[in-house]
Amino acid sequence: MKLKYLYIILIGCFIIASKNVLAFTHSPETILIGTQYNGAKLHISGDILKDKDVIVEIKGTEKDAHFKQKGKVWGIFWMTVGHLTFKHAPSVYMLYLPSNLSGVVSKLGLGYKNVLSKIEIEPPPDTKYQILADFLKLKEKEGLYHINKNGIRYIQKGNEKKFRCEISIPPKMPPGKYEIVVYNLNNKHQIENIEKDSFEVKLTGFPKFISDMAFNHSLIYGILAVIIAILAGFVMGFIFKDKGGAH
Amino acid sequence: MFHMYLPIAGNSINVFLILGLGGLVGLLSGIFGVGGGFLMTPLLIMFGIPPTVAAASDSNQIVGASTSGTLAHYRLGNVDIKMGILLLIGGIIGGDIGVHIIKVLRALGNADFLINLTYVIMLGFVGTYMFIESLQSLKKSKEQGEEELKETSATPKESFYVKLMNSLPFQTHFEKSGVTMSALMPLILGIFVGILAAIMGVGGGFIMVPVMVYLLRMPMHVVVGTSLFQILFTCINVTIMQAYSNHTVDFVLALCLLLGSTIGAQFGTRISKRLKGDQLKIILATIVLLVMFKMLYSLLAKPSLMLSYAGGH
Repeated sequence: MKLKYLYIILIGCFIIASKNVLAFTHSPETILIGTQYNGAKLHISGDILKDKDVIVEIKGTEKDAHFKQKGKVWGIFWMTVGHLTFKHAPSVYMLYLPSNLSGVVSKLGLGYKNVLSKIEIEPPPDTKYQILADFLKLKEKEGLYHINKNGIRYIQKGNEKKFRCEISIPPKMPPGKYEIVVYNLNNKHQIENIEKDSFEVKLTGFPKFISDMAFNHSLIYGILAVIIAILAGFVMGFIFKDKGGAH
Repeated sequence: MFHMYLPIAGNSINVFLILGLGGLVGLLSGIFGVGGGFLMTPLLIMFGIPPTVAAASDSNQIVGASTSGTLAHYRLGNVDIKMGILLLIGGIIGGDIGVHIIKVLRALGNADFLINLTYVIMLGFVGTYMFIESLQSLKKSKEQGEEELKETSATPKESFYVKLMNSLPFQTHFEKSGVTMSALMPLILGIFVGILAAIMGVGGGFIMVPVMVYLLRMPMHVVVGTSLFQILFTCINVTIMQAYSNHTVDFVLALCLLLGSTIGAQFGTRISKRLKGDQLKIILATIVLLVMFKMLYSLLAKPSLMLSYAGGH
């Protein structure tokens, strides 16, 4: 009998906890880059309790990134003065949060400040702060680093609410696997649990064919590119001749 | 709307924008016999194409545009094939030497600075000289004043140069250009342009054209056709090499640019035929000077960001 009560209590706890534990879905699973691709939208949604909040993070892999550093030469000319390698910098970093949480992001160990603090630069520059600021500007310009302070929408459903988030995938986001991290926050704005999933950006059709050729059959690709260009030049030449333009 | 994904550049771009860019540069190419790389590459970078991909795909595009342009000029009798081949051989040898010079410069450090400074000085010198010279000859042909003939610049240098040209062996007659000189001249000048082009990372059309006009004394219209002929082969070499070793040729981008530029080159050739040699020179000189000022500005003005992507990653 006691065991029965224990089961009921456990099931009850599980039901309550399952409302805290977040289950989110995203669509599409894979973003396909076709001929007319110009970026895409990734939709993330899930159900949470009424008094909870969520923050959505998108992260790319941490690959070494190489940059040229500019500086003054002879006191007047602005030139490349050195090369820098950035380590532990995610290729993509996006953060979507509801409007009421913009103040607590860094306290939670999220956001740019947290990402930039983990980056190592080699060789270590004198002006690391300035260089990191420029790195951020460069990434933001490409749409690869992005914070949307009003990026989560809630729809109330009785004691629960549905969250929705629309992620803008910029055309410059390279093919690869990306991590989706959804943070579930309690009413004190503390992280209660974290759920992860991933999505893929993949080349398909003609872009995939070109990319495969360029990287796997580079010599044939180069020769074909030249032959097609020459043929196109000839075709144009003859079209114009037929119109009687050339004498 | 009407966007196209460029798989090697890793970005998408408006189709009409590329067609327009191709058309504009093809037009210039057809008029002046320059590849247009000095104009196209910075424009492509401006529209979000990585610099290495922009330069390599542009050379693929120039193959098409210069085929179309060379064909049109060949029909008009403006291509001196003998001269073109000699310049080409020189250009290839010079290109190899230039690549080694760059390696040495990079090892010494500050290579980019030296390259850019050479660029500005060369463009400034060539542009100013062409501008003044063609302005003077335009004036002369209008007024036909006898007095102005005395003011011809650089006369003493030229006479020394003529002596040197005549004293060299292998004197050859170049029928299409209507000049007789040593076959070594185009070969040596080809090497010189090849070295500069390799160091600056450009096709060298806008150095080659003034060299043909002033040092090889070729008539302007033959210069344009022959320059295009020479550029065609240089860019075939560059495209294959870049595709093979650096994987930086975006064929989709090149093909779109090509569509625009081959049409542009055909119109350019017709415009070129209607303009006088001096008019052509003066417009080209203005463009060369504009590019020089743009480069000088980018050297002097503080960049908005102190960081940029290093190529080939």
